[in-house]
Amino acid sequence: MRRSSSRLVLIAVTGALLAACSGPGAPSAAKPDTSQTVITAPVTAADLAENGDTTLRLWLTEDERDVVEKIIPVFQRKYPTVKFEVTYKSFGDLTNTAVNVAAGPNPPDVFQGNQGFQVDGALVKAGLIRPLDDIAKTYGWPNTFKSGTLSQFTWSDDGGKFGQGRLYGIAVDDQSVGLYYNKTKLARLGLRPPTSFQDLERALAVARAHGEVPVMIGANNPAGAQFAFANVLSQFQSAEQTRRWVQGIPGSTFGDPANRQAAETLQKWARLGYFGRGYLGLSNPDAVAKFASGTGLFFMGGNWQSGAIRKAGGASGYGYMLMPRGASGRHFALGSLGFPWHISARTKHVPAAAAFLGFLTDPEAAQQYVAANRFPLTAGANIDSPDPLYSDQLAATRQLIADDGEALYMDWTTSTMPETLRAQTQELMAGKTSPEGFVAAVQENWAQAHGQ
Amino acid sequence: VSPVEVKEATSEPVGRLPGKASASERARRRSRGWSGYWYLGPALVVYALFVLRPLAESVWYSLYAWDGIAPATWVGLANYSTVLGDSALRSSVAHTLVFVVFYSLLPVGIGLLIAGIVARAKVRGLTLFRALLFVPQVLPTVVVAVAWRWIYNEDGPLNRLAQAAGLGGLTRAWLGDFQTALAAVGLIGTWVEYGLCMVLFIAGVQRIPTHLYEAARLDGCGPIREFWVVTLPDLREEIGIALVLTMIFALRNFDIIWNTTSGGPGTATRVPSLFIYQTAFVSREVGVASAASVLLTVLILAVAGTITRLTRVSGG
Repeated sequence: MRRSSSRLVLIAVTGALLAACSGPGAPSAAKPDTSQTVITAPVTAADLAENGDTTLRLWLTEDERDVVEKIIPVFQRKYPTVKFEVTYKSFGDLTNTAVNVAAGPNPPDVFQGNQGFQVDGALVKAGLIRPLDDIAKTYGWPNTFKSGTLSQFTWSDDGGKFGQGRLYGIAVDDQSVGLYYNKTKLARLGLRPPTSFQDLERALAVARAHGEVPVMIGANNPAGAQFAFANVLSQFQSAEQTRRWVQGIPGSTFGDPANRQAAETLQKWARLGYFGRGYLGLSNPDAVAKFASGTGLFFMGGNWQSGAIRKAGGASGYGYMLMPRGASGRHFALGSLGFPWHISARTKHVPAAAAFLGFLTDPEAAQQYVAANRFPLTAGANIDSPDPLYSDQLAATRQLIADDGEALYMDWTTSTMPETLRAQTQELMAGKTSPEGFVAAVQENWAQAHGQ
Repeated sequence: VSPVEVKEATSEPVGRLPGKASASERARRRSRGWSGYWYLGPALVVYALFVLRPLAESVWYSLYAWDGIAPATWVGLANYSTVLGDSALRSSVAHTLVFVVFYSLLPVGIGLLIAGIVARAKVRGLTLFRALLFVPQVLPTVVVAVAWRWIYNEDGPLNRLAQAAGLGGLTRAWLGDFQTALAAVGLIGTWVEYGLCMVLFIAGVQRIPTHLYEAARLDGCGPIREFWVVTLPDLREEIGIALVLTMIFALRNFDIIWNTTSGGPGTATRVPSLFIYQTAFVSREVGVASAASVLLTVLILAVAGTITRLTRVSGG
């Protein structure tokens, strides 16, 4: 028995060695289709009808379901020959499989990735997605969005440089991180929404002295840990600086005084008990649920997380604001547009895909985003919502865009940064590492990837 | 030797020429020996397709620098030196050793204790008792992880219990505390695995002839001595099986850790399987991840082999 099993292993290893003559990764698998149509004028229903029925296959995050299910019927009224096959994946499943699916034998025509080097960078590098400059020009995206905003979808064609080169994706709504507050508690403590860093620190001290948890965070995960650090960083750093660092632009560094000050402050707040207890064991959804049920004066979270508060009946009892303007004199928030939509470099349905992305960025579709409590940058000025929390958030988002304050997300900068940032922030908050050690470890990860 | 063969050997006609007969006999026997493999065929095909082939592919990938998409470059054994030189990975191996205690040694110990009690006393409702204690083995690990996340929560049942017992000072988010996270995750493994050990050992104990216990008692053994001289030696095989199964679980564990702490807080519960996942699927260094999994496989085979050798009952 032993001999026969070792014989099998031998066969297996021999097979592996024989196969080793050619390496894995067939070079032909991911060849972009260079014959793809170039879009020069808005696609009409008649253009699409010429080829009979078209089925567009979509791979999207679960978060898009609300909006997309409403948008598709409206789109189909205009373009009746387009059918859809939509697959929804959780954010984690999508980002961890998007590249392989796009490289597979039968890639979806339109799918979402994630900004940054882990997903979008890899997609561009492997030639799996189509540049959208022609579509952008046709549908006027450079007028709808600021060029700084669009730069989160631009890449050099080798996927090595982020924030320059051709446009490889598009998204519609702002997703940024701010400060939720419990209006009742704020009033009971005799406080008002803070307008400066000093104001904020005073509010936290008062809350602590009255036995409230000053700030709820759920920091057992990369997102929650990063929200806490970046919200503090907004008081010391400019959005521009952080954005350059995220995009790996030479000369930028994490090792500047602003990041060190932010790390010191975050550690101090943790030591003073401003985050309550147990936040390192708390997930972000659990944290917002606790906040919605009455624990904590503030909650640091994304503008997409208000659903949990609304569900708990708190739309009128809770407010939302950006972190106060810090040293840079402008607002700064972790923020970007939503998950980018891409067109496969090998799709046979470029016109239909272009028509759909064009429609997605149309004011008509923006209404569906508003209905789902999201913040489309494609809508006109006259969005109206009876929901006071949504109105707060919309005002904050507009302020952020006006201040050019979207700092992007810090974990985009390298594929291992989500993990490094989570572990380092947790160690910082628990006093296991010094602010200097934190800054050095994060910068080391960055420098390794960006070769500096 | 299978009973069929024994029968055949003894029913051999007397007076046949030994040399000639044994040659044809041997040929016949050999063909019969191989024919047994036809029955293994279907399982072997599945095994080869879904276990051996991926294994061989992992070995192959581990010799390349590959992002999973673009053509790979041959790097020889460089990935292995990367893995062995990674200091973060080495510290995660230390966590695995702690998990071996919680996932393997502790469950085996608890299983033995229960088996010892069962061997000594007649427990009423043993079947029900056994079934209930076995439940953790049957549950999907994600369910187990979610349940324990709740138990360990800042305002979960464990902390409420501590408060009720006047131990409010001990309460914490057990999975989010640098001091307790490793042990807290470890105890989940203990809870999952001890049922398996217990069932194995109780079955083993029931196989031990009762006259051995009677003899031991006549010789004046107390319950503890009886355990050492009768129960433990006779359970050697079962202990071997339990150790192999639980050690493999401990060394390759991913799902419980991923669904409770994801390696945190900081790096307090990071283990090699998390490294493999992150390297393969997040940073897309397929070669390095493959090298790490090959090394982990070799380690698991070595541990399992050693335990099997040590606990083999000689002459059985």
